[in-house]
Amino acid sequence: MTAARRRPDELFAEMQARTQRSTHRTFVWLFLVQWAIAIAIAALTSPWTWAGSSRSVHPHVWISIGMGGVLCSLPLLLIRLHPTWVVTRHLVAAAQMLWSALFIMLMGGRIEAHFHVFGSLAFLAFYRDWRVIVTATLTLTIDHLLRGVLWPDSVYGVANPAWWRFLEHAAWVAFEDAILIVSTTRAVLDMRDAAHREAVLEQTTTVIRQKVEDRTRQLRETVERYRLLVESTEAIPFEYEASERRLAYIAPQAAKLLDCELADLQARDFMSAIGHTADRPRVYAAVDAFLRGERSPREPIDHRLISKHGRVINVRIFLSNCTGTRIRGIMLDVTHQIQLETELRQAQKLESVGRLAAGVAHELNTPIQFVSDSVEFVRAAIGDLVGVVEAQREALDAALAGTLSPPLAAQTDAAIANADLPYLVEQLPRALDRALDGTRRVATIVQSMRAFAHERRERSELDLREAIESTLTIARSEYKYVADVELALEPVPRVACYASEINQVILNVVINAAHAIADAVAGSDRRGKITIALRQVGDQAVISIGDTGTGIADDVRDHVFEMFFTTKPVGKGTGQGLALARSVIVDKHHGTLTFDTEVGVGTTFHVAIPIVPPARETEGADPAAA
Amino acid sequence: MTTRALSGAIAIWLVLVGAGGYAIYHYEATAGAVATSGATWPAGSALARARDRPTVLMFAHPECGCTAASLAELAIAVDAAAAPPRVLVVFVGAFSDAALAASDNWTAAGRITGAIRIHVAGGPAGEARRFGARTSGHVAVYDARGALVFSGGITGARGHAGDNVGRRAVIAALRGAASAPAVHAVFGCSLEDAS
Repeated sequence: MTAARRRPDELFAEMQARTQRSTHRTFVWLFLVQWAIAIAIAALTSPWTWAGSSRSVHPHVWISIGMGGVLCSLPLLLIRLHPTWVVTRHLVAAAQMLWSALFIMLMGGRIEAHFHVFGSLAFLAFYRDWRVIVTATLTLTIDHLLRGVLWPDSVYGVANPAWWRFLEHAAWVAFEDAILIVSTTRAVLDMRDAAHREAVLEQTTTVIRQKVEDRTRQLRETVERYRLLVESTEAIPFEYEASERRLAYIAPQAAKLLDCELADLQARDFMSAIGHTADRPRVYAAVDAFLRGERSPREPIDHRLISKHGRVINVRIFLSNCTGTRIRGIMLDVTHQIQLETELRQAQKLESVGRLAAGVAHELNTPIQFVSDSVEFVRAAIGDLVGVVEAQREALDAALAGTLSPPLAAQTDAAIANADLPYLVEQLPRALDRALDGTRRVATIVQSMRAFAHERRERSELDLREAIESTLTIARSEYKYVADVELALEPVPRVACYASEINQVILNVVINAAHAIADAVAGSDRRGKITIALRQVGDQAVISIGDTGTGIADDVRDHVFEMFFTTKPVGKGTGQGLALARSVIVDKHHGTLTFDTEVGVGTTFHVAIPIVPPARETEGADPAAA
Repeated sequence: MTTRALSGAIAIWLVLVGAGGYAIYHYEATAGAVATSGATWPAGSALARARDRPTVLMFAHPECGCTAASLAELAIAVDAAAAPPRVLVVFVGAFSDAALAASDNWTAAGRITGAIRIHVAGGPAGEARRFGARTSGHVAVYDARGALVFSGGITGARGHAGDNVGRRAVIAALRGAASAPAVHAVFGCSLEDAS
């Protein structure tokens, strides 16, 4: 028989054992209570027996104590020592019926005392064993037979009962026995059914428990996986309760980042306490805007935190969602990234400078060349003029001495003629003008280079016209062979911005325009046109840089602002120019960088910069400056 | 516990139960002492009998627990009489009136139809001995002429109420059906101090 098939029988046996133990406990109490009641009855109804005026304890009291003790002794001992033995419950049954006999006797055979018999049988039915009821009935029968013959008063209450009184008593007991045996048998059948159901339930429970354990294990693994994921990445998820200004949760790696204990992180106002003073209003404003639904989850909040050790940490926060005033998001340590971006911008600038160096050198060489030529001409002309002056001085000296001879006069005249004085008079000023112009052009280029390379870490007011012109000056070598530049620069207020970075943006776009035109006119003698317009639109200054180049193909339009995306051949472009331009304009200046393009016609980039930076920006400082 | 030990224990237990049962039976069924009583109403008695009807006397100990059953039987017998007899419940012993009044037997006696409760002293020279009563619950019934028609107890055993020979004899006497003086054992406490 398999374990599964045996299980109902095992459970039935367990239930029976439980029932018997429970019934044993009931009888332990019942015996003790009956004993106490028997003593109480004797003590209350006949405490004393008298002989005249002297008294002694009534024998009923001693009988109750002694006989009660005897009746309790062996059943309680067996219940204690051998609760599962069959004989134990049969002895309990016999003892209980003898208790009935004792009570009937103590109460003078009163008919009401016989109810104890029926109650006792009912109690014995708790064992759910019909044989116990049979034992009880046999005990009762023997007692009634013996006492009915020897001492009928103690059973029937009268000395000479009718012969049928025994049968009457027996009939009532048999009636109750029948009821109890039927109900006990049914209870046993019910118990067997229950055992069967429990076995089925156990089996089902085992299957379910196994499933639950499997699912729990899977869940635990998933939780562990997520925990490892959450706690081992550089991104630090957090939950911030805005109403309490407290972090409800933050991944533990934050403690390491911020040089503090994990418990510190959840203290009220902790983030404010470690937030950079200059950034705090901006961060609060951003959080409030997010709670009001006015700020997109895609907009990062960059700000600085000061660690316990005084380290400045640049963090970027993305708020993803909120429930009431509870906000969830992630925090990224971007300190290194910002350093890299700064270095990248600088590298890109150096790259531009490097690439432009040849052109700039050429631009410098041309004016220097004609300055040199002009100076050379002036030097030669001065030599001629010195020769004329010396010839004329010699003629003058001879004339003053009265020795001027016609040959000397002819020689002097020849010297004047050789010097070609009209020519010199005409060309010398021009040569000097050219030299001066060349010098000015060199100065302009140098000034432009200085302006371009000017590195300031804070905002300064920039004249965009000058910025455009300077940038064009140093980029001239990039476009002068393929395009003409047309400027339409309207006066606009000076813009508070990071000047060197705006210059870099203009340069990048102009160079791209030149390259696009070069591609478009390659193999022909056509020249393209770069149109640069500056105007004010609302509170923004807009620089539009258009070209008549190839235009941007449909399939690359969505990628032009991606870092390291380029369509240029190796050595001509690195794919950083427009990506950095967008970062500078959009992220740093809160402006826009857009473009219109048509393949084969050209492209126009529109750089829009707020003339006055947004309030939230002016309250803080450049995160990159940290 | 081994089977043998168990068998021994059960045997001992059964012996104890049997012995206890026998002891109970012996105690309950052992009658009290009875003195000789005359065939007629004692001449020296201070108690007055009825001249026109039977007189029933019960000698009782106020504190005897078994006497409660005797009083209950007496009440039944009196109520079953052809005509209400003179009933005297004589409490014997040196008890104060307060103790007597507080006893259950005194109260129970008061409930018997027409019963007169009397307190007398005990001892060999007392009224109880005069009527042959030495045990509580002793009943003596005299007819209207003063002849004894019943003497003894009216319960089947100690404290056992219920139909019994004594009660039936009393009822028969009160109904005038007794042909000869009947005698029945008395179950109760002694009315006399132990010597």
